[in-house]
Amino acid sequence: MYKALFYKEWIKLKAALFLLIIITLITYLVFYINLKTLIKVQDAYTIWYFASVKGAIFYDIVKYLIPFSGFIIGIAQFFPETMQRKLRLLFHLPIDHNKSLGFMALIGCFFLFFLILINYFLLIFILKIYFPFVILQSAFITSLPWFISGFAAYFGIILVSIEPSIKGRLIYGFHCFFLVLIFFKGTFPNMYEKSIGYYWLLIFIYIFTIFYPAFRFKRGLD
Amino acid sequence: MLKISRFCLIVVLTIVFVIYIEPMFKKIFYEKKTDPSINYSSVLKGFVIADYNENAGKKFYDLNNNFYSRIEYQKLLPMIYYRDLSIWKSLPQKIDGIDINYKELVKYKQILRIKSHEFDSPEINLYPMYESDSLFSKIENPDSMFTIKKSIKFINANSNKTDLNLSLKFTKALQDNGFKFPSKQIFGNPVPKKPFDEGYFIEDSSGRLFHVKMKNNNPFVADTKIKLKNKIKYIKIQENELKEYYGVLVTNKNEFFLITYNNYELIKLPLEIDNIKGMYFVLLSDILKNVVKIKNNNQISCYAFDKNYKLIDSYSMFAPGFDEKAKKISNIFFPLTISLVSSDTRYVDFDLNFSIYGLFTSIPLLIFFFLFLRLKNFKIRDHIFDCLLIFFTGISGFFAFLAVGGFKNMKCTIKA
Repeated sequence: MYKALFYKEWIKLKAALFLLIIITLITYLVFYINLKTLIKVQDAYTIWYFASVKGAIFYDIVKYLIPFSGFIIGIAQFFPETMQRKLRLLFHLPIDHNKSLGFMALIGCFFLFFLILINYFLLIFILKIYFPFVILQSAFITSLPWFISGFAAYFGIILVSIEPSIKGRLIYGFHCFFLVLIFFKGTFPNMYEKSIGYYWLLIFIYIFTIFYPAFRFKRGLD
Repeated sequence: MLKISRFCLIVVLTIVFVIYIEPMFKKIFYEKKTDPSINYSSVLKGFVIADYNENAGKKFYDLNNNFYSRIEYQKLLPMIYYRDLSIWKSLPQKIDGIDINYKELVKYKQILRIKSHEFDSPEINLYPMYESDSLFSKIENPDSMFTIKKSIKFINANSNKTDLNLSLKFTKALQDNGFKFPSKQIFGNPVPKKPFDEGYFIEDSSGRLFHVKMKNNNPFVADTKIKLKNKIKYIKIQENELKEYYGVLVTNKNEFFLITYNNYELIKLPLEIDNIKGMYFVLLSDILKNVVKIKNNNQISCYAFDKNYKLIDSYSMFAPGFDEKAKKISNIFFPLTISLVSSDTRYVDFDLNFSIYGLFTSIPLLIFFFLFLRLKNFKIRDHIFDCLLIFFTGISGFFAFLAVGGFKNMKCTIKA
């Protein structure tokens, strides 16, 4: 049953994933060209100086890639089913509806995690050409909340999709938007060193929120 | 699971409400306020105050309640307003037997500022090492930057490879002078816009403080032999042509010391500071005296020292900030606040604050909440966590509850 569910999700997601990978590759290509040009026009020392002493973040072009990916994966996975109320079929399968919904969300998280890994690989690979290890370390910490905000965007979209009432959808939509923005509050490198645990905690709590509107969806409540 | 899910939804909604609504609400009550300026007048031998606030009534006055015009006030402070006094040809010839002229005033003027976020800022362990004994007037950019922890490592920026020669030279020089790796803390002024470079003060693993800089392309390492009872929290280095002090050293017990050029001898500044969070410190030196001004916890203090840093006089006054009233009002409506960013730190942190005054709102809201439950036939036992949340978060928790709605036993409400 779970294998079939995975296959169903894969059919829905493969086009979106392909599109997201293309967008990611293009963004990192632009980032690489910009960085290469900057180092050619200025000089490497000046760029290092701004990165380490002045706290400049040269890689912020990739900031919104993962929340955007979370948003697209959520839409591709849940909108087709909820718009035509097909999700109710899922809830009538011989699996507990929390488990089936949880499994669907797990598949989405898996693909999002895969995109995060691609992002980290490309980010570190490009930075490694021009910067020393300490800058790579800093980029890893600085971009972590940006990347995990993808999960907030993803679960926010699930909430909006499966909530049966229009009022609820509007509330969850606005709420998700502002929640995602919380992951982008800082403007300095390594600024999230003290708060990264709280961000993970927020994501952890947010995961559980999808089951309440799912139950309301199943019961057809407004 | 359903109850847990609903509660998680309310919690996340509450967090978002607290983070966004409370600061917006507070902004409504901000006031137009400027901090009064306290200065020590070498002419008057006392403190003079300038209060530019519209409702202050008096603008320029001294502690004996003498009031001055703006021009009279500026004439009392020739060390600050020497440019205007020079235009008015009103610069005093002598003060305390010392000749006063424009050039000397400019030469002896020094300002060192410390903002509280400097104590709590993320840093990247990559620093430039400028030539401190350069042939040129302008500080030249080096080819490499260094990292220090288990050893000191210089990395060439063009090749992104370790400069082994320079790294070994500095590591050896440090070890020869008794430096014990790994390093604990490093302090310096890594900007190139300064008259010369004094390098870095580095604390080794045994707590000893070393002065490290580049001199004629070779390492210069000196054990400062600075011994303190308390741990070093921060050192602000600021190079100045006068070479009176390297900078200000702050301990974790809020003690302030000047590190002098006299063999790194420390001079303790007799300041009374309970909390350095949110503090603004400025040290103004001129030809006659040194003045320390501190703004902290709605209080402004001014300490006047002679040239040997002996306290002449000090004065403090209450000066509530532009957001003081807003904070008080906000505390009533929002018992719990979460601030992610603040001027006290450059870290993003979930800084949670609870105010007891918030109970003035929480308790009536709870009464209203119970009436609402009764009216809508919700069971109180299904809403225990909601009660706690409203109690601790006030309006934010209540809004979150209204957004999600009450919990009902939904087994019998299936639509056809």
